[in-house]
Amino acid sequence: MEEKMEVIFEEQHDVDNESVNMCTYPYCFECGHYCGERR
Amino acid sequence: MYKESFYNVTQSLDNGKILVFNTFSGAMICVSNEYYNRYIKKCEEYKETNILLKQGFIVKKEVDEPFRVSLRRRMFAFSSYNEKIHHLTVLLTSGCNASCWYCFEKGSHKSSMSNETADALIEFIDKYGDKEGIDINWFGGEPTLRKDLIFYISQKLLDRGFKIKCKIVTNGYLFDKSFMETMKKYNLVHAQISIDALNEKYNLIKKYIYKDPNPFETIIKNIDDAINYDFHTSIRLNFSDENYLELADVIDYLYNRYQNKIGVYVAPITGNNSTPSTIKEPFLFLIKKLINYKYIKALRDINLEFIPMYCGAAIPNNFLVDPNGNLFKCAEELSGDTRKNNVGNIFEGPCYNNNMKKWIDDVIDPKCINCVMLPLCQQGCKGSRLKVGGLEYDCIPTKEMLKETIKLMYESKKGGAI
Repeated sequence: MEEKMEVIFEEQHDVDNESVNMCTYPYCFECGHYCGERR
Repeated sequence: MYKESFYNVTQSLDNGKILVFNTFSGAMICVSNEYYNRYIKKCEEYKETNILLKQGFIVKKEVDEPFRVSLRRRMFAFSSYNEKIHHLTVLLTSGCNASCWYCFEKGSHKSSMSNETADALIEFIDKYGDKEGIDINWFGGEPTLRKDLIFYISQKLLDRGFKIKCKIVTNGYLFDKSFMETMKKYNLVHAQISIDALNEKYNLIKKYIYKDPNPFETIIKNIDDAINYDFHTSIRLNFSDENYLELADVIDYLYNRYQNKIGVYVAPITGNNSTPSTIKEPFLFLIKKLINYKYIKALRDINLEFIPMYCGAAIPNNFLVDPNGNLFKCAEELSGDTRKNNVGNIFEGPCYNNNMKKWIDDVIDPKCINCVMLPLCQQGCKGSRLKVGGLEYDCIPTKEMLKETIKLMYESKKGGAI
């Protein structure tokens, strides 16, 4: 079977290595997220 | 040698295919049933095995996935331990010119910062803050009631060589042109304004203290100006199962007036007997609307992104300052008797007391460690968990509607209205 996956969204980070940045309380100046948006 | 990832979530599509989303990696693929069963579930070797591994859909058999997630959490929590303060939330006043029925600060003791406390705050920032970059979040109450102190503190910090960046959470009524003009100097980059209805209904919810026949018009004019001044403005829509249909009209209004020059997001009103299951349908309804208007574009906009920690309040050097100069970890701790909740004050510095310990302790509840949502929620909001004293309530609404939101994002990516 020559079947392929269709990628809708790529992985967002390296699951093994990369350190992860996040939105910081209560507002992330880098990405503009609020803690309220996570509720 | 491989196994299916514990963090895979599947959703069947109308075309017979399966959508697979991994809550840790954030990857999403669409495959046939046979593909899923053979190459993901049974992990048969295939030419795409390495891609599936990289995307996190399959993992090496010996990998302990919850450990891998919690390790990221610990790394993040303590990476900034010895650093200077980069983020500070400042409550200049707990007073407000509006009185929204749902305000979480309702009942809290009203106070306003004195000039002496403002001076002490400047000294505190000078000692503990990072000169190379400190972000200040002006919060309240309504922070624009103390524009004098916003200008005073910002100017003093600039004089002392601090590189500052700030944002403001405001109802927008006093967020006028002259304030914006001054705030350009102090590097205001973002304003958050709540709008919960249109026109008269908005005015009734806000109950401003002013004799203004239509405060709604004032707010809208101020948002127009904020766009002209290039301040990124986010409109927050607080919803419940009772008002969500009206909020659809608000979203239509905002899009017609501003298109995507502003950000719009929805947040459930907490503390009014609402639960993740009662708000599920209203939430999905509003999310569809926001996706159609492209206010939601990426997985991160809809809580489908791995986070090492839910909130930076659980990081040692992240503080909120109240008008009396007390330090707290979160605004949720400001209602009721706040004396026992502080983590020091600006006069003596942070205190590593029991309350600090409560916030910083990195213990993951056994109920959460084996939950597929852990990479997306990291146990949710610690403030409300400490307040409510339980985990169940605090599960983020995305948990109840995970499969639906995955499908919505798939449909959105494939194009067309949803």
